[in-house]
Amino acid sequence: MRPPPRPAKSSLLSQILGGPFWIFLCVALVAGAVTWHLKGIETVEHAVLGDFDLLLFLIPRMLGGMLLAGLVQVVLPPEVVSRWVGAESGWRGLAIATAVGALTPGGPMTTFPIVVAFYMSGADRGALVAYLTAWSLLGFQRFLVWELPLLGPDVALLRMLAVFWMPVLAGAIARRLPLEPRPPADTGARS
Amino acid sequence: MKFQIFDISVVLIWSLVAILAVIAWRRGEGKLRLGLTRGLQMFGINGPRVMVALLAAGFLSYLLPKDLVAQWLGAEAGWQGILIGCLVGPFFPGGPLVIFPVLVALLKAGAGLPAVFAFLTSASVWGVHRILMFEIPMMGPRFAAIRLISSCLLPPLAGLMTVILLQLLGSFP
Repeated sequence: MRPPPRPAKSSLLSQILGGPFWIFLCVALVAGAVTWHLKGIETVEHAVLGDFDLLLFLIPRMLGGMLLAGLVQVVLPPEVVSRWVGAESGWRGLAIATAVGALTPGGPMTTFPIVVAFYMSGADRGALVAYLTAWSLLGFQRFLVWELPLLGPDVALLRMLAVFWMPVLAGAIARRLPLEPRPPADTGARS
Repeated sequence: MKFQIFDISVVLIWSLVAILAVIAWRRGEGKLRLGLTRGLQMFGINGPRVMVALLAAGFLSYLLPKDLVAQWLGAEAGWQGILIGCLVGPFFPGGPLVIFPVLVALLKAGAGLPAVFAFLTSASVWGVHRILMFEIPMMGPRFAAIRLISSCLLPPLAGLMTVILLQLLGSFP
């Protein structure tokens, strides 16, 4: 079904510089040109310097996240992953993904590598959608650090009450969509 | 914006890496090496993509009239507030560090809870920055489409649920 992984170096390079890379580069160049035109060269400089700061911030997290993802794939047996959060895991799988998502701390630079790792290990699209929705919407760390102190317990709990069921719904809808995800990282290594 | 390069989340991530590395090493069969190789390969493939995506997202964030939008949301109540909250949420970049000060400002400006929760939900599940910078580069456009279709109703539903809960609770502040 999927092409076998190719060991050659050139295939890795062509993966790095594949379609998505060029698309993003084009978007960046167009947006940069528009920014220059509308806001002047200072804003362009400011944006690029800000990106550089952000990059320094991202690299240790992304590298850690990617190594984490690589290790999760070899340590967690695929049959366990697909039993708990695979396509046949039912509502229980969606509930598990929701709970794990809400408990996952940190930003997208670690969460997305984990999503890739779980996809490669056999988690289905419904569980991954539930996981990401819960992580972004119900994040427990965010609740403790931001919502309780800034909004107060009444408002924070009201919000939780209004949205806690949403990740499971999104996951259930995702399972019924006739679309298969095809992540770029999927080089046929998915077990 | 200034970023704290080393904080508790870096320590947490790398501690998890260390724990998993020890587990993989104890399993033997070259598992540690395989896991690390896969991780580095992923970093090599995704790093350049995220870098150019970052550049694109950085420029786009300068092109959005954020302050204007916040004023607008604060001024509208009822269904219009919910609708505007849903529509502007995705364009607020960044994590809680950016969103929560905006949220507090909105509440102070008199925006209703339904509109504010719709806004927070749409910033969380439809956040354009995250989709551009991480989701599409790493999981591909098809996965992003699946997730967006599945969650397209969540922000208005969050506003609606808040209206219902407020009615049920009656005397809520």
